[in-house]
Amino acid sequence: MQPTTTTAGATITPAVQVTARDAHGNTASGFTGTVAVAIGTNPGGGTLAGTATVTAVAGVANFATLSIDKPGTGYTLAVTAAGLTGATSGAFNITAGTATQLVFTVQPTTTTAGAAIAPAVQVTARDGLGNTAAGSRGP
Amino acid sequence: MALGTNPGGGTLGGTATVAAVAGVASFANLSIDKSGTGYTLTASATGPAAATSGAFNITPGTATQLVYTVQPTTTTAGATITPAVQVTARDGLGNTASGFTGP
Repeated sequence: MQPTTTTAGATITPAVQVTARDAHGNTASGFTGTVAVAIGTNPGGGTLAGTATVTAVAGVANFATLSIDKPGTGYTLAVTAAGLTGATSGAFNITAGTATQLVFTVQPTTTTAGAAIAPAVQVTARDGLGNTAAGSRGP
Repeated sequence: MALGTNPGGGTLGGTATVAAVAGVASFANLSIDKSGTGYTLTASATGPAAATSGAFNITPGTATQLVYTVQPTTTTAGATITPAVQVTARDGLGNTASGFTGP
């Protein structure tokens, strides 16, 4: 099961699933080794959280709690297991979460009475992880 | 966008409500009409928690007018006019032009 586009910090669902195969493409149901997953391509500088090392059951490894904290387009996950050729997932995206906070990203500066405050005051909507909530159109 | 702390009793001018673009709202023409030390701005939106800016000051503009702040009073010939006559330099918005050192 390939990873799907997910909100930053949310669990990637459905669970990412990796299957060990033999040289002929059959599920290697006798494989019960350890499988590790890590971020392959990392366009957003994200960090992978959750249980990233699992033991395969009947040749299948399930990663049910993976999440990535930074938005980006074109993440991939790379899986490795001792003695097997690794695999890279298809690309997927991480999107910013819902805006939960406003932050002054350009603060107001001391100004003459009646004059425009310059540079322009800027406020950015961010999700709970500090990512710019690009979907936010407020107020 | 609204005034938070308002040490000078000022009014916020300019476009105080804007739509965010890609999560960012820019306020290009805000102004405050009264001088004061330690103003703050408060940003709010539906959904996310509000934010308060750092403190900043509003300074008086250039002196453009003189105003009698203590008028001369009827006085005996030759006597000193009391209380002392007082004139204040003000900017165009009526703030005391504290930088004015005339004459």
